[in-house]
Amino acid sequence: MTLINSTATVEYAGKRKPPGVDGQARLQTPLDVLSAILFILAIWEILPRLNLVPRLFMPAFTETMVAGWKNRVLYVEAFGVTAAEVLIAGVITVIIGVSCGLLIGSIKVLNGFLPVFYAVSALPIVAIYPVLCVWLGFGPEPRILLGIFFGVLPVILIVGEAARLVDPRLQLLLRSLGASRWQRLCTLQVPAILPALFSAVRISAGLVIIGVVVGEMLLSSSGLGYLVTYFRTSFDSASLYFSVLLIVAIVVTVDRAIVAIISQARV
Amino acid sequence: MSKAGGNLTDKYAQISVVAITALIAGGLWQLMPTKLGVDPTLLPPLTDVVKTMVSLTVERTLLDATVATFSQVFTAWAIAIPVGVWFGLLLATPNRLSKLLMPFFQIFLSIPKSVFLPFFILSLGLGFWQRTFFGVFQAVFYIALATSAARHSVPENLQVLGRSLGVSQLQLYRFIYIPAMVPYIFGACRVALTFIVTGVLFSEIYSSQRGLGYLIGNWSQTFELRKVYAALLLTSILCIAINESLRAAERRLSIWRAQ
Repeated sequence: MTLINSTATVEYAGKRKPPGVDGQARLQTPLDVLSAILFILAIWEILPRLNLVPRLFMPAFTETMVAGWKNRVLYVEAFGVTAAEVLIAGVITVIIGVSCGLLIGSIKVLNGFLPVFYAVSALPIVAIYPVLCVWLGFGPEPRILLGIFFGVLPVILIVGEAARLVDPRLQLLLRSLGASRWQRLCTLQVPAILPALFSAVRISAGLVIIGVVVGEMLLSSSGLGYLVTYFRTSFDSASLYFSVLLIVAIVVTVDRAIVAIISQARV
Repeated sequence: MSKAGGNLTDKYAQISVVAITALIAGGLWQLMPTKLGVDPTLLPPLTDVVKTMVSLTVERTLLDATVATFSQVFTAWAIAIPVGVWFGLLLATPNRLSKLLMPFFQIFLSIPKSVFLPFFILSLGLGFWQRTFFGVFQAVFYIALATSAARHSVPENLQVLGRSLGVSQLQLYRFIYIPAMVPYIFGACRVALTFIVTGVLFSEIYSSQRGLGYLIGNWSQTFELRKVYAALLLTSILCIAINESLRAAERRLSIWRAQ
């Protein structure tokens, strides 16, 4: 509802620039992001080489890559451990999150518990990890559980809100046609929450990965987070940087993959 | 929950839901070690934990740690908000500088920031400022991008109206931009506070000599679980209290927005 057709002419009166979204000159193109990344890589390479930054703090980009290649067996093994934990945690997160969300959202009486989950989302979940280690020992279970705790809350909240907002007239229609609760679930509620579910899965995937990695950084004997701590305490900065880069790359890749899968499913 | 203003029955319903949840959780916590056969060394009963919490606070161990942790948290918040809002306003104006900076902010928002903790330790050591700046790092990108989005969400026709009435730039900000943006930014700051708390606690458990995170990690390693639960209970109560009071303030500030 604007008085003027083009949103850009207010800001660009007199200048001929293509109107874009929300008054900005252009959308962020992948080229912008790519050039930003290349700029960061250039700084990363040049600054240490010119001794403007201590080598211990920031090794050059090529040194980091060489260190990564040197330790490739370590990284492959650690990646396997972390990937297994993330996969288990992710599957359980989706199952628990979706079922709890559907339960709380669709049953009117339980709708009131959604604010409780909003309140709980303010808690720092990482603080519970030492207790999990005491309960569950030194295996992968505490890290899987921490990943689940990190990831399940957004899924419950998003799916719960979406289930709560399913059109009540459609529900009434199905009930008047004699549909059982299970039929209503499969025909109406699950398809209705699918868009919210996709965005929730995308958000929680990153959170589950970071939960597992944070757990490994704190107390673990294997995995990518453990390698980060190991290289930090042995002051091997090049390998430390490579480990962090690897974790960041994994999170970005998983995010992109989920976006690709979701767009395929939508089409 | 369904009405924007919230009539009396909604408020009582909300309070009773919270009370029921607290009662069930507290009751389970008390019953599980005492009557239901859970090992009391792994899960001490709620009464024991509360007693420990009170005694540790009185003897200042928990009190000092809470002060240490939350002084870092609020310092980080006090730094992150002006820096974030400034960058957000910068990013919102469509000039070359914002186009240059925007990809960096979007990149750093979408990557996991907790893994960068070793970098902060390498550069800033193990002290107060390392944890504080790590907290700032967690929050500033979110606040900046939320501010930029808030600035873009100011209705276009209000800006046109302002210009057609001949207001100055300062008046534009005072009467149109800032009232439209403040509720949005306030909410973002509240969420950013939870990021900061998580970041500071994580870095305290990871590498610190004082603070709630350090106590939790240390006491876990010596299996003094009663004290660990006391610290966790205190942290949870404080975090929820701060978050809920900020949400209440947010609701008060948003009354004029009849949405």
